[in-house]
Amino acid sequence: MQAARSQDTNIRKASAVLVILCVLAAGSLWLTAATARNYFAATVAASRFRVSVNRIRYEAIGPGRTVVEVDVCFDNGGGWPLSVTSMQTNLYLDVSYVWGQNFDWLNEPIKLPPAEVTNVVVKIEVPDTKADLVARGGEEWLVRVSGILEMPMLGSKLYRAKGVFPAKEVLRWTGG
Amino acid sequence: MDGRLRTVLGTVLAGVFMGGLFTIQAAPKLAPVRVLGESATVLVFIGAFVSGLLMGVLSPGITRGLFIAVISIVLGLAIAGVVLILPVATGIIGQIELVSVSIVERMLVLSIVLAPVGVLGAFVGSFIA
Repeated sequence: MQAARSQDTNIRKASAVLVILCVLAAGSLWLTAATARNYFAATVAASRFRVSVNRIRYEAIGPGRTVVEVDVCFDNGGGWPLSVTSMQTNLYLDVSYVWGQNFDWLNEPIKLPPAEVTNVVVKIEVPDTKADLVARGGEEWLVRVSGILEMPMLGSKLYRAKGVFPAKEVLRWTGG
Repeated sequence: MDGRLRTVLGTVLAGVFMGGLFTIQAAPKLAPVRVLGESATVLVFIGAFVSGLLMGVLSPGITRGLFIAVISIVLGLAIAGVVLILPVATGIIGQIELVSVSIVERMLVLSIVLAPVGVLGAFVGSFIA
């Protein structure tokens, strides 16, 4: 009799535990599903974001002063609004580093609306010590850009891209 | 319900429970409720203890309870891993990494740390039972 009662108590305990586990698992399933949904939306937004360097051109402003203009294209093909808060641009001539410049837009981030392409033109002021090198040019110009992209929910993420241009494709800009 | 079936069902349910906690711990900013994301690591520890405790109550014998507590953590880890790896497996990868290798490493280290917590829960649970 006592053994039967003990077994009955055990079954009741086990049933109560299973009910609690069912509730916890159901709550956790909802949590997993909701997080996974956000995760996939973020993945799609990240996968449809593209950065590319479209064009380089340079201008000799005065004696020993040269400005290199880099046209960077941000293609936000996803459904989330994104923004760029910083960019580091490095210029290389025939694989040798020439000069670089940082751009900080933390106060006024560049907005990248969903399903839109945004072109940003940045100017690198090459110091007079390197101006001759740029004026001489090389066979191949290389620009590396990297920076911080702000994504909703995820916060800051790093982006990077590079553009390689044969010398004949690099335009010498005469102003205007 | 058969005792073995009950144990298996309990282990699977505990694994699903831990899977949700591991998922929000890996991607706290993507949690549907911000508070849950912010306290994800604490929740994972509490979750491991609670699931261990419940498994200890559910299954007769301390050894079995301890073993099941660890299994439920591993199962939870596997579920979270599948969720995190799906975009990579389906080929949706962009220029930006959403889940870095360090997050996956942190999750694995955490699971190792959690095993004794789950075992402790199972130990307490087996005494309650």
